[in-house]
Amino acid sequence: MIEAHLKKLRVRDDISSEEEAAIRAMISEVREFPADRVIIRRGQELKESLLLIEGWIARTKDLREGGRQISELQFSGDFTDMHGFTLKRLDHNLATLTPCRVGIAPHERIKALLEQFPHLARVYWTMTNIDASIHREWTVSLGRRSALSRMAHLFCEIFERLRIAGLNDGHAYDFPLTQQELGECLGLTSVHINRTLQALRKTGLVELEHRRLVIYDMAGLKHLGEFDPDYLFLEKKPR
Amino acid sequence: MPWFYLHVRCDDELIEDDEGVEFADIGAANTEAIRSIRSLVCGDVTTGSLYLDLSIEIWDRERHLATVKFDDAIRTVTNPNTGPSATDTRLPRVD
Repeated sequence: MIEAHLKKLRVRDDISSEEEAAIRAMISEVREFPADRVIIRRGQELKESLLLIEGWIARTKDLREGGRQISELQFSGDFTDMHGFTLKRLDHNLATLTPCRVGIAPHERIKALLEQFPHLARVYWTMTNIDASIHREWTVSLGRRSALSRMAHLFCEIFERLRIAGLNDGHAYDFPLTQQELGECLGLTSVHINRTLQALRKTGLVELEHRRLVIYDMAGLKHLGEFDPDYLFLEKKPR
Repeated sequence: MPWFYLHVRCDDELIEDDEGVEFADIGAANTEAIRSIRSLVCGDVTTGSLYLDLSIEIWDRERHLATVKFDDAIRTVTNPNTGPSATDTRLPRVD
């Protein structure tokens, strides 16, 4: 059930079988949500955190004119709001982009786990640090990269993040976002997304058809997006 | 809410919107088209190109409802003394 999560942790550090059992025991129940639903609203008091078992979730901030900006994507195996354990409320919404299965981790269980296994406290600290690193990379994209480069970068990031959880398929992956949602990630209108996708297709590096993304030239796409996976900290180290 | 399809026409090339987007009404679709032209022009200019022959066709499932052209979204100013101000109402503000 939480295999993708364990894979992601084990990319960064060893997790013992005892620790694994304790992580599994932290989940009190599994809830299912339909697509396009805000499942945690900004400011709401939190007593549990959500481990995404299956699906795609977005961190979103609403804008006054009615639109929203997506500031990070979360995939199967990501702890969507481990930061909510210490913050007790979020400064953003969590919204499903696809139907999602979510494991509930009550805060008292997280507290007990981290007290019993200080190593896991450091591992989860690492994971929230990586979330912050992803946000920094998105800031660079939104502020400085061209639409084409920004899109190429996001496609590379999603590829790497799905790959380490064993969720891609060679050089392709299912891409459930609409053009509007992709625009909310990249700070572009859906029209701009459509034209940028067309331009990207013409490069021959990648194609998005029928909600499936196929990468024909990984090195070329990385170069176009200025993508260096170092900010994802894909190395195993004692934490 | 009704669905609208915003096709981009740029230098004889038509980029069709197969997905469509929901808007409250044609006015909202029109606002989005204006916002999109401004966004496209911004991106183009930073790479050194400016396509004056840029327009967006707004369609519903069957019919062509409206066309928003470059000139509907952007006013070209050659005299700095007549530059745009916050009270300029000759072009719609969508921000």
